[in-house]
Amino acid sequence: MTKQLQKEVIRSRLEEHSYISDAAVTMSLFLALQLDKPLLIEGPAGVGKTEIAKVLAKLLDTQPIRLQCYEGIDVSQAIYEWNYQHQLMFLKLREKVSGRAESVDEEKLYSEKFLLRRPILQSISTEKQSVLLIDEIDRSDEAFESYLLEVLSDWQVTIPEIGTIHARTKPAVVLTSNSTRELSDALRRRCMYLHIDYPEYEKELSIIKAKVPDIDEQLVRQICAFMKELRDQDLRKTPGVAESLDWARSLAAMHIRDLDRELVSSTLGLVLKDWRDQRDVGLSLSELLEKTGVKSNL
Amino acid sequence: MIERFQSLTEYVTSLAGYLRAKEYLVGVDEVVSTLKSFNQIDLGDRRSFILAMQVNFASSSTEWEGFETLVAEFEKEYKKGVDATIKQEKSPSKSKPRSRSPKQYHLEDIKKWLYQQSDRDTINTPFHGIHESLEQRTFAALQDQDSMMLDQVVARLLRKLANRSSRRWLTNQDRGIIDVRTLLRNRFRNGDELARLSFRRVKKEKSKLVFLCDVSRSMELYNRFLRSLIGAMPVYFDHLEVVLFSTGISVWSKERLKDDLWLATPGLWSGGTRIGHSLKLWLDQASDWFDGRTTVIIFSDGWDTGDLEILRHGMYRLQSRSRQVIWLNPTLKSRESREISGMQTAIPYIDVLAPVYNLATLEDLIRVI
Repeated sequence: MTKQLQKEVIRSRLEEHSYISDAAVTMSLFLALQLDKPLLIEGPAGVGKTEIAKVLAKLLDTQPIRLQCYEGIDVSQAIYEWNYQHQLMFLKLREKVSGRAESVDEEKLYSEKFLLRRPILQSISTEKQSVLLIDEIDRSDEAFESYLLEVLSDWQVTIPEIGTIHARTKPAVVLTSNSTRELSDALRRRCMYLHIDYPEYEKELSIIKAKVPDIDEQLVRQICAFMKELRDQDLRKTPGVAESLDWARSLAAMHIRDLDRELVSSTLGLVLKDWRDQRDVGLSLSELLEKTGVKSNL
Repeated sequence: MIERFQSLTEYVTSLAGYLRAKEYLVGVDEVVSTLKSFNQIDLGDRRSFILAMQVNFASSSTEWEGFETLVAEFEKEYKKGVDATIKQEKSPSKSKPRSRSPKQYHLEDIKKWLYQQSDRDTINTPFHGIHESLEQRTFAALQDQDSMMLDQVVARLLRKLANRSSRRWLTNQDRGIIDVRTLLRNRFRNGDELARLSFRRVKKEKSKLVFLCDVSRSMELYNRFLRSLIGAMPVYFDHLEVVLFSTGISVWSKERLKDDLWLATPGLWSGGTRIGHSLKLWLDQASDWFDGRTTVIIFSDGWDTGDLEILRHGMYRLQSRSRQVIWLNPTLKSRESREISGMQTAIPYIDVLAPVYNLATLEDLIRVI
């Protein structure tokens, strides 16, 4: 299925699912699928890295399996874990039935029945090719990243009590990173690479129109222009496309057709998530609005 | 531009060499992957052509953003180089009509290039002389013609390591510094009026060398440097042991080094690294190898997928039994390798931690040791 997807088909299917892609996104997805390689997507927060995996799953008509990384994540959260409660219940039940404590065959105790499959094991166990999203890999520890290397190379997981489980189908793997720490060269070299930056004015315009179809044309242009100016400021937390969309949805829900100083000032919290950024931008709001071409109403 | 190259394979391998010189992480795998990608796209579309290479060759945001500019620079400089060559040729090139259309690329081309010329993954291009000196060029970007210079620096490093001065002195008949004590003794013992000069010189110690070399996949880029280093070691050390490790070890004594270890080592340039585990494996079988004359050199980027406690214990055993432990890390500058947990674990047990990624850094090391 994936091998048959052509570049143009991918592009049009992404758009069908309201993902406004560019040539780089289409090409990297296409080549990652064709060459069976993981795709590493880097870029600032809120530019649509995770969304790519979700849309890819829709495109392949499958469910995305998401592994959200965090500091301290280990094999038990990422690959598998034994269901100790069920194992204990099983032992107690046997004791109850036989009326005495007896030794239990380890094969029964450590069978697949008691195995909790975590995202990576799930993704290689499915009959149909799945999409494995390893989100924010930069938040995980190096030890986990190193373990991941082995899984991504061999597509097999070894469980000491059961043996080695080989992948039935290789999942399409998408890794995302916000670059909070440097990933290892070894991991980078195993992946296709895609960098997504904040979108240009025209692209953001298309994204908002696609995601919020009932928004006013003038309003969406003002939002995009304002966001572009905002990203040029020296901010602690630069707003991404996700913030633009939140803002656009909120304004569209209020049936607003035109931005003004009062409105921007009162809804700035939807866009800027740091109080110092809000304070600084609030101080230079008139100047920003002037650059954007929005009336100040002063 | 592509038409100037004999084939697409040549273009890509030349570009890969150029990118390596710019510190891109580009090895054989990336080149093969790019060539396979070309099978999937319309090569007539310039944008697709660049993007396919960008997706394969870039591995960080900086590399991604600068890629197109570098490709443009590469093509411009190659064009200059080719034009200059054509002008210098006396025989008119008109007699050899050059094919205007690019040679069609096939999978067989890659296979041929990959397996029959495995030690030649770059094609000589005129770029490096323009931008940077040989000393500054990373080991990953060294070409065949640079090997003489590399060999010379490596030989100086090994000579310095091998010839350690002892605290003892040797008397000598005709050279060295004048041995005043022996001179006076002879004077008083024999009552000679005429002084017969005595000399003495510092005794040279015969050093032992253990070279622990990481041959996991991430180290593949430095294989040219490693070949030069390991190839020269038997010349300078009578007592020598080379241990290649990734997830397991392959031990090579001086006598066995006559064979081609690069061909005979299983799992070369593949898989992850378990440094601590490999150290333990070797130390358990070679504990009697050490004494105060033993220098241990480790060449690794410090990425350890194994238990860090085993690494810590292994490093402690190494340092406590040898004269000095020198860790050469080719990624120390570019990737802030000190922050890697394997490196952090090992640092307390390292006597000399050296970033060694080009000839200039190798010269620095020679000055330090």
